[in-house]
Amino acid sequence: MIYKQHKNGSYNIHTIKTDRFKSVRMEIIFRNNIDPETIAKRTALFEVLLENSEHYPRKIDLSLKQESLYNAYCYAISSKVGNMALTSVCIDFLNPKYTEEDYLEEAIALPFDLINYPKVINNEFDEETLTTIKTRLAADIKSIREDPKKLSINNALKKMDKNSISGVDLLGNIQDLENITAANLYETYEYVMNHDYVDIFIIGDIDMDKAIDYINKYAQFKTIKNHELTLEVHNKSRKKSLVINELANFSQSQVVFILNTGHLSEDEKRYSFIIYNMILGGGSLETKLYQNLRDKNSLCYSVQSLYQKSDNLVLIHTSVDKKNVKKAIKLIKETLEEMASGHITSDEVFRATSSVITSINMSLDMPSRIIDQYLFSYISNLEDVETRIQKFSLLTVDDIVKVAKNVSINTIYTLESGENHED
Amino acid sequence: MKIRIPGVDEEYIHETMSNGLEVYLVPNKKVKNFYMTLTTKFGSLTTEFKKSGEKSYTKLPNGVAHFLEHLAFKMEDGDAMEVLANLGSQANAFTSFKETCYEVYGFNKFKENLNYLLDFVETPYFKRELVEAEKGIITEEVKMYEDSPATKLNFELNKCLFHNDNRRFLVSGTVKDVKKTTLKDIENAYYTFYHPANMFVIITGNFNPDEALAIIHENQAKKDFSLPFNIAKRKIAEPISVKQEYLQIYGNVEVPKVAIGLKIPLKNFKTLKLSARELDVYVSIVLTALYGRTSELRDKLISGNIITDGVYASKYITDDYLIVNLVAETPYPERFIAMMKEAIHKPVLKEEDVIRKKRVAISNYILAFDDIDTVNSTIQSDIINGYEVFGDLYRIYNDLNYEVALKVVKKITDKNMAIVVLNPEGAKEK
Repeated sequence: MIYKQHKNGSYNIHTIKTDRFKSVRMEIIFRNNIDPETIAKRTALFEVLLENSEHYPRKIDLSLKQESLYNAYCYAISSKVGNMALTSVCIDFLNPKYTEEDYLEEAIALPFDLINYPKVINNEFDEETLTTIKTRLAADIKSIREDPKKLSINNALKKMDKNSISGVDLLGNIQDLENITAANLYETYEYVMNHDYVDIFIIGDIDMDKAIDYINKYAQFKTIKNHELTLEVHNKSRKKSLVINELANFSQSQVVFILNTGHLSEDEKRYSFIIYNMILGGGSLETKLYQNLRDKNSLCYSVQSLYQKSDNLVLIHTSVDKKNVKKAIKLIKETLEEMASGHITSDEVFRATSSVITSINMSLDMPSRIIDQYLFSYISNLEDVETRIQKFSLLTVDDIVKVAKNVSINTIYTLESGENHED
Repeated sequence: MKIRIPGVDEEYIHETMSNGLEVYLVPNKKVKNFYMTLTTKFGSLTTEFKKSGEKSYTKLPNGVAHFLEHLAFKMEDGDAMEVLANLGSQANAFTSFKETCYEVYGFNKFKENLNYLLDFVETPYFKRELVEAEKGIITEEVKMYEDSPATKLNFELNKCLFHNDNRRFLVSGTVKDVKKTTLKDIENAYYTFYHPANMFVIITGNFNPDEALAIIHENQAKKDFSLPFNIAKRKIAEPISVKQEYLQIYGNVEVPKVAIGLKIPLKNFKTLKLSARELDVYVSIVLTALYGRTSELRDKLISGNIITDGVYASKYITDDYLIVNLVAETPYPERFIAMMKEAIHKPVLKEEDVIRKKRVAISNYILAFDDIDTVNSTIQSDIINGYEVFGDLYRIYNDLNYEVALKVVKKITDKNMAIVVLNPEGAKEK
C-alpha cells in the first residue's frame, strides 16, 4: 500500500495505491467546526446535492448514470466527531480493468458534477427537490422516537448539558428543518464551498497520476482556508451526578449513564482509555458490564459502553425490564467502582488489547476504514497502525487503573417503559 | 477438491470429512484476516422432526434453535467467548429460519481458533440451571425485537401471508415459548441437528488451505460421533390463499409503514423451465428493475412525496411459494397501496432495464470477492438454498434474457396478496 499526499492550496489529494481491492473508492471530505444554528442546513445541503444536479435533473437520471458505470454508487455520509462536522461525498466503483470499458474519468467526474453544478435557478435550490429532502429528513428526525436506544442516548446527552456540542444532532429538529428555504440553503452551499476544508482521498489499483489529473480537472474549490478547527469538546463534570427519569411507551426501560473521562494525556486517551472502555463494556460478551448484568443476573440481552474520545465522554446503555431498573443502575455503579478500585486483571487487559488489535487489522480489509486511518493521521496526528499496535501491546494493568480512577458519573438517565414482567 | 469460480480469478476448495462434515475454503492472501463459520442446517422453521428409525415426531417449542445458540457458548470451564477473546479473535452467532451459524474473525492463532470453534460447538454442556438462567436474557432480547417497528411489521405480514408455515413465528419465539423451553428440548435439538453430517465449515480470508484441512481432519478424528442419520422434518402444508388480506396495527412509529406481501405458487413458473437458481436471479433482477432506484414508479412516489425513502423490495422462496415483500414508509398509506396495486397489475419492464441490471449484477458478483464476509455468506446461502456453491451463477447473469424476464414479471401477480399497515399509536385514538 503506497500513500501519497498532494497539497493544492485550496484542497489536498491523498492517493492510496493498493491491489487489495477490485473496487475503487473516492471520498471528497468536507470538514468544519460545528455550528448548532446551521448544522441542520448543512446536513440537508449534502442530501440535496446528492439527489440530482443540473446535468441529472431527476434522481432517476443520476441512478441510471451510476448503473451505466457498472453500478458506481455515489452518496454522502455526514458525521460528527467532537466539535467537527464531517461530510464525505463518496463514490465506489468497479475497477475498470475488470471490464472492457475505461470509465475512470467519468466515475471520478460524477461526484464533482453533483457538487459543482447543483440544480439551482437564480441562486435558489430547486423547490421540488428541497421538499423531497425535507420530507425524508423529517421522517428521519421522527424515526429517532421509534428507536428506544437512540432516543434515550440523545435525551441523556441533552439533559447532561443543553449547550454542549456533544448533544447536537446532525439532523437538527423539525423547526430547524422548516426554517430551511431554497434561498438560505444556497447561502449555506456558498458558505460550505468557500469555508470548509476539503480533502480528496482515492484508493484502489489504478494509475494514480491519471486519477490526480482527473481530480484537478473537475475539482473547483478555490478558497484557501486558514481558520482554526477544533476537535475536542470539554464537557464539564459534576460533583453530584444528575439523575433524570422520563416515561415512554416501549416494551423495555432504557438506562443510560454518561461518564466524564477526566483529565487525560493524549496517549492515555488513545491507548489506556480505549482499553479501559473495552474492559468496561466496549468489547464483546466478556466485558465487566456484560458479566455483571447479563451473565450473573440475567437482567439484559445487551449492555454496551461507547467511548466518545473527542467528547471526553463514555456512554453506557442497556435495556431492562421496568422492575429491574434500580438493580441495573446499582450494578453499573458497582462495576465502575470495581474498575476504579483496581479490580482489573492482566487477563482482561490482554483480552481487550487483543480485541482492539483484531479490530485494527479488520479495518485494513475495508477501503473506507483505510481512508479513515489516513484522514485521522492527517487531521489529528493519529499514529500509524504499527505504532498503535505496539503501544496497545505494551499497556499494563496499572495504566488502566490509573485512567479508571479519573472517571466520574455525570448523568444517569432512565426512560421508563413497559409492564413489570413477573417470572 | 479445487474448484474454479467462474468470472473471477478465484477458486475454492471443497472436502467432506468422514463423519459427514462439509468444508469450504476460499483463501485470499491479499487481506489480513480470516473469517471462519460453523453452521448447522437447523433454524426456527424446524419444530417437528424424527431421526431415521424413530416412529414418532419430536416436537419443539418455537425458538429452540435460537435458545440453543445461546447455550452453545456455555462450557464446563466458563464461556467460549472468553476463550476466543483470549485467542485475540471476535466471535458471534446468529439464528435464522433455516440455519444457526457460529462465527469467528481473527488475524492470528489460526489453528487455535479453528480448533476451538469446532470444539465449543461440538461439546454439549447443558444444565437445567443454565437453561433457566438464560431465559431472563432471551426474554429481554425478545422484548427488544418487539420494540423494533421493522420486526413487528415483518412478523405481522408473515402472520397474514401464512396459515401454517412457521415463518408466522419470530426466530426467537415469544416470551411464552422461551419460558416453556426445557433442558430436554435443547438436548433433543442438539443431538439431532448438531451432528457433523448436518453441518458445514466455511473459511474465507488469509489462511493456508492445506493447514486448515489438516486441522479439521485431526480435530474430527479425535471425536466420536454416531453414524450419520437422516432427519425427516414434518412437512407443513400451506394453502395457496393468504390467511388475512388486510391488517391495520398500531405501534411506536411516527410515520406509517406499509408492507405488501405477494404469495405466488412456484408451480406457476413451471412452464418457464427455469432452474431454482435461475428463477431466484430473474425475480431479483425484475424486482430491482420495477421498484429499485432506477424505476419510474419510485421516482413518481418520491417526487409526489407519497413515500419518504424508496420501496424496499425483497423475495424468498419457501417449499411451495415465491414470496415478494414490498415495504415503504408513507404518510399516505392508502394512496401508496393504490399506486402499488396498479404497478403490480401493469408492470413496465423495458429491455434496457434488463440489460443495465445484468451489468449491475455482474459488477456486484465480482466486487463481492473483495469482502471475506460476503464470500462466506454467499456460500452459506447457496448451501442453505440447496444450490451448487457459486455453480452457474455467473453464466446465468451473462445469459439474462429480456423475453424470459417479461414472462417472469407476468407471473408476479396480486392474486394472493396480504397488506399490513403499521400506524402511529396516536392514530388509534383519532
